[in-house]
Amino acid sequence: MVKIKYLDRPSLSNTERFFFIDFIKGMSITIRNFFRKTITTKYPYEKLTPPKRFRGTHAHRVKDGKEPPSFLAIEKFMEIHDGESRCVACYMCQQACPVPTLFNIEAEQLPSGKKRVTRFDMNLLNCLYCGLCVDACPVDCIIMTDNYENAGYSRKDCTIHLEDMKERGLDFDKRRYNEPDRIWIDDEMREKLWGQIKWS
Amino acid sequence: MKELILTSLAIGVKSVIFIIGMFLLAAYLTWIERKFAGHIQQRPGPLHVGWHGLLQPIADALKVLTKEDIVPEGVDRFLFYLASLLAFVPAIMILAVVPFGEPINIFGVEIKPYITDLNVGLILALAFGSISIYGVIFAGWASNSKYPMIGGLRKAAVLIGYEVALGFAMVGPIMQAGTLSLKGIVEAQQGLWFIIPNILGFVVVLFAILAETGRTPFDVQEAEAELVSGYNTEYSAMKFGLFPLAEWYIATFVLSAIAVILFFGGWNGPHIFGPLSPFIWFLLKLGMMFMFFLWVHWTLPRYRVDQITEIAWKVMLPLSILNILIVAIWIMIFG
Amino acid sequence: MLWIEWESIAFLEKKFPSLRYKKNKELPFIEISKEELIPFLKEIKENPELKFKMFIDFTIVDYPLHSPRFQGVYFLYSPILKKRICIKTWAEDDKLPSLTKLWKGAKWAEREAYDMFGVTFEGHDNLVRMFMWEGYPYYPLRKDFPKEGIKDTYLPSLNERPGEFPSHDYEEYHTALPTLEDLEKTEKSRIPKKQAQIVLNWGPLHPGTHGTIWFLFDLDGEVVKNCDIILGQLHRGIEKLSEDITYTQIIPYTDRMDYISAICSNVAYVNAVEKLLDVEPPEKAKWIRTMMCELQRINSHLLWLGTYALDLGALTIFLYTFREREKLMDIIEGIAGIRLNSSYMRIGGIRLDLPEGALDVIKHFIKDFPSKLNEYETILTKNRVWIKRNVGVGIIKEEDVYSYGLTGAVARASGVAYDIRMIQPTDKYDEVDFEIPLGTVGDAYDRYLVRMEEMKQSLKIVQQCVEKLEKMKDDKYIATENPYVLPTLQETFVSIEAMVKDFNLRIYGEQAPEGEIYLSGENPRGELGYYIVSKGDGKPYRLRIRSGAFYNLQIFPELIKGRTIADAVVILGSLDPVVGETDR
Repeated sequence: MVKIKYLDRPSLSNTERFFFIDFIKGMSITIRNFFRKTITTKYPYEKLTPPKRFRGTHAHRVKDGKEPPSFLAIEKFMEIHDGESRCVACYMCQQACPVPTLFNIEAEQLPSGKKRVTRFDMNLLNCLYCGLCVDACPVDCIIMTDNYENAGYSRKDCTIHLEDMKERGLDFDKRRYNEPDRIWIDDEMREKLWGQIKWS
Repeated sequence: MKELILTSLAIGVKSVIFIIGMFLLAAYLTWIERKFAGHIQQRPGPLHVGWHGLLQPIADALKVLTKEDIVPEGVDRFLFYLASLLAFVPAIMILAVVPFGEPINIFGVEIKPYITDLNVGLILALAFGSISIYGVIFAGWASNSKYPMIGGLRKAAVLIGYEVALGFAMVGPIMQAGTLSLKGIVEAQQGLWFIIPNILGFVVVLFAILAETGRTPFDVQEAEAELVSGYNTEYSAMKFGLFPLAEWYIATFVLSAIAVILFFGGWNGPHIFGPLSPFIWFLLKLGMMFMFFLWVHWTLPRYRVDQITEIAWKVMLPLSILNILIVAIWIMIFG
Repeated sequence: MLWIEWESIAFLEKKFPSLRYKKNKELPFIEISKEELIPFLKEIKENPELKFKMFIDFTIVDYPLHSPRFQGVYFLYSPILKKRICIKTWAEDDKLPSLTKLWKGAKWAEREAYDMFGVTFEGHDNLVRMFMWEGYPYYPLRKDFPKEGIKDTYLPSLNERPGEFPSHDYEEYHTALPTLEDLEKTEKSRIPKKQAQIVLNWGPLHPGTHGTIWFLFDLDGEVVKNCDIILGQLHRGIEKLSEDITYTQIIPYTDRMDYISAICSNVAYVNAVEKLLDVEPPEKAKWIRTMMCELQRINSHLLWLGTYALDLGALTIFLYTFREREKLMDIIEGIAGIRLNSSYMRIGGIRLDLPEGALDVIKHFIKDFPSKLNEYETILTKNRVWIKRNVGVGIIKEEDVYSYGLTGAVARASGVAYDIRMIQPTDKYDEVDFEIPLGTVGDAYDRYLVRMEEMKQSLKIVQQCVEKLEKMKDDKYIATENPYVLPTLQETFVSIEAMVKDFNLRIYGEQAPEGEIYLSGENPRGELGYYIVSKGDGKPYRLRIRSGAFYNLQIFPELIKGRTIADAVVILGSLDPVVGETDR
């Protein structure tokens, strides 16, 4: 139920005015905070680990035996070897993206009748990091990793291609594939800010 | 003749030591302020330059000295350069009359830890403080821009009110000590510190020092949200560096030294630290007063300009006159 | 039922012969001719039974195939009947009569309509462009203006080598940019004549304005005689962009408007689209949405408190509130994936379920937060400097709230009980217990007290949501059986029907039925309303965003007259605008 509540405006009494009690109370709070431990994380010497569902730079997963059943249905039309990215060139990520010119995907038809992806460029300068492309991929190929340090010196460095996306995907899966989907994984680093949390 | 040469040589050497010492001390006062402000806000302050940031003031000094000095086109050049000097030099000149302790004997030579001991020392200190208002007004006018002008006018209005209140509040200890020389006032406090009958005067002097040195709740001239940076918006490099150095650190230090001498007994205290104990007591009291100003600065919000001048003329001045009355009755009763 | 029924206004049919009442799926509206518009509006404003005196929104929709091309749409609200009304009229000869004599809040709305569509208003006192600069030759929101703009300025990149293209979508021609002369012309057209000494630019780049807002003050000493505001420095054209992308693809754009409370903007938009498509999200999704909305409200009010105290000189409170915000950002990062622009909502539910451990962390936060809030109140609420700075500054009367269309904490501080969570509850707001604080005087101090109390009430709501969510561990979080809702990834991997549905919905969009809807949500800054016109396509025909911060900022020139610059900071901080929302 919603109730309405009228607020009363506090005002200072005369003794409080004369003895500066409002100032003294405020200053006691400040000095109490002086004796608490500091809560800063001294970046870049100490870094917090982002959670598993963090939306950082994009990466491709490779064909390594852990694909979903939908990949096995489409696989017979594609020429993908073990260790190469799983992309089936369905253009769903390009359709789902709110920015029309971010993706640049090209695929060629080989003489044996199968398809192969030749180019997969993403211009990350225009990316909104919304995750709609990840939600659209039917074969669990494009994912977002926990890499947030992707500054560069020229515009060319900020476009990512198929090769480095594949490497980033391999590195991410090696580190964090078997992690549970928990709210964060580094309890000790976050203790400075949060204190002790009672986990159920 | 020989006396004259020796005395002038001694004064010269002492002045050089004091000025250089003051510069180094002011640089490390910035370190103290940044660490204190940092820990109040639960963050460490300077940490990486040197052990816990102890070399940070040197890095800051090097940065400020080597920055590009931009002088805008339409400024009044003479006043522009003069303003930063006028804000800085009077603050150091007050040091000429502040005594730091009793005369000590090293190898039979008596060394006096002060530059001079005039018998109108307090008036000279007040006069030097008033010259620094000119620096602010010149800075605001010479910059030829709207924001600095408003900042300069605001600070001038504030300072005029508080100088008057400060002068009246200091009359109380003068009446009790009977002399205007700062050394004499300290010596008159061997029995009872002058804070006891002068509580109202002490409160007025506290607020006046906050207003003179430009700290919250009275720091209108550099209210960042309103006036970008007040009267020193157009300054860069060392000319900019001199303004906060002079105001926030050197002036606070020196004026709190005067407040300690007037109200808290100067260097009087039990002789538990050996022969150097007057210095140590003086520096301890001075340090606590300085930290109190920092503590107030980082907690309270700031007033509006017309409210500050209203407080100066309607509250502080009557309080200081009331203080004179109370001290007069005290002297009549207790002799 | 929030919209007015025909029976209540049928008695006016004799007086106004061109009155028609129509219903367009979710939105009943009244059509009237241009000549009878102003008498009709005056009648329903002053009639003691109806009293539609609160101005909500005014906009224009462009139908290029209809003979008078532009249709003006007005939204009003009656505090007595607690109902809204929607009035439409066709603008013959591209002209409409101006409403500024009846409602002062229409001044900026009409400037924006003139800027975007080219419709002139007779009777407006200073009809200039709102977002674009004076001298801009086009009207951007018309249907014949292309989405990419008209690229006629040659502007190659300054630090890339010529001939070598830096990325695959790099273009050398740019849309028109303003020059310095254009900006000076804009500035001169705002303040008509210089009556006093100086015109001060409290300019676009200033540490005190909350973002890039350009104020012009006509000063006399330190007292402000006249004031005007030039907006548009952060105008990104979200309403134009939305006409070309599907309903799901608009969601990341909605959380870049009011970037501080992104989840609340998302929730209001998704509620509007769900009402249009008739989609009902599951119970767990509604509880999670309510909880995240209230956490985001605490986040936004903490930022307001920090920057407000910083502008007034209490420097430590800024860092204390950011310490609490770090905890809230950690919670949002763990649940949604990213700290600030979290497009966490989807049509039909939410994007991902709560991770394990989320409820423990939120419970720890609920236990810890009231003591910190107590600390801020001890430093500020009874402090004599704070009271002297805030009491009696920027008093807004109740009539001004109705006339300007003020909403949110600004309206509640003046005593008007206008809260969308109470009037039109969406999600689970009708099942939680909370109180709405109201002020009595309407000055800046009241707005401060109202926002502090709102933080405590939000914490109460979060606690109730957490108790409910503990029992719903394994429920569904998105209603994927509905034909308009995108399937989850796990469903796409295993079933071919889900994959085909996914493909269809992404390529063709959610084929919404023909109709219109207006729905609003309670943003921390006011009422955020979405007016969506759909013509049966996968993309909206017109998306109008009624932003609370835009209408709240309109009262600023009125409040600052006769006060000093120091009060400008206090008044601006207590109105709490965010430039992403005022400029869209």
